[in-house]
Amino acid sequence: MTNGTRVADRKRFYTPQEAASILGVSPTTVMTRIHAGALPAVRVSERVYRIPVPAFERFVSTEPTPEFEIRYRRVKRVRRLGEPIVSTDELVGA
Amino acid sequence: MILARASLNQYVIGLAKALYTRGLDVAGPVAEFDDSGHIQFSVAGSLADEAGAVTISLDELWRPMPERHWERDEYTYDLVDEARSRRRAFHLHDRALAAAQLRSVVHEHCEAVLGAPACGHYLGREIPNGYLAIELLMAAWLEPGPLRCADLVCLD
Repeated sequence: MTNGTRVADRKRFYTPQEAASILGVSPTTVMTRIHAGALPAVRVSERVYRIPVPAFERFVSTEPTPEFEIRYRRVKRVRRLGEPIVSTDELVGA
Repeated sequence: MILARASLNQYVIGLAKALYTRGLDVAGPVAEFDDSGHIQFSVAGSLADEAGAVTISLDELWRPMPERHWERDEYTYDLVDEARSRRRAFHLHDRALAAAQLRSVVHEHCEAVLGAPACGHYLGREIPNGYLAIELLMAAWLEPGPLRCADLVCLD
C-alpha cells in the first residue's frame, strides 16, 4: 500500500482467482470449497463471488473454531428491539 | 421462523460461528429471558481496522409458542462501518407503530455517510433468518463504491 492510499480503501475481498493463486490451487478447487461452505464467500451476482479477506485469513488459520455457548440471564422484562419509530409530526409536536 | 428450544440454541450458536468463520471477533451470544417466556438474543462481530471499527450486530426477540416452541417476533440486523463511515440495517420492530406510521412492518436503514441518513426509514423486505442477514451485511461491507441508498424507497 502506498502512503497515499487511504486505510479505508484497503482491499476487503479476494476473487476466487486471487484466493486460488494464494493457496496454490485451481480456481475450481476454491469454488468447490465455497460451494461446500468451507470457505465463506459473498455471491454478488449469478457467477461472481467475493471472498472477504478476514474470512480468507481465518480459513487459512490453524486456530480451531471456538465452542460458543449462549449466556442466559433472567430479567424482569425482556427489552424490545430497535430505536423507537417516531413520526416527523410527533417530533415537531413534541 | 418457529423453532423448538434445542434448535433455537443451535441456530443462535450457528450465527456466532458464521460471524467467526467470516473473520469477525465475536461477542456473545447472550440471551435475556423473562417470566412471559420471551427471549432476546444478541450476538455481534467486529473487525479491527485502523480507520475505525466495523461491527455487525444481530438481535432477535423470540416469543413463546405452544409446546415449547418459539417464534422470531422482532429483529434488528445492523452493520456499522466506521472505517468507511456508513451503515446498513434491516429491522422488524414496533410492529403496530411501524405499520401505522411507515405502512410497513419491516424497514431498512441505509446511511451512505454514517450519522447523516438521507431518509430515516426505507421500505424493507422481511429477512427470513440471521444467516441471510449476515450475507447481506457482509455484501454491504464488501461493496467497493458508496452504498446505493438512493435506489431504495423512502418511507418517511
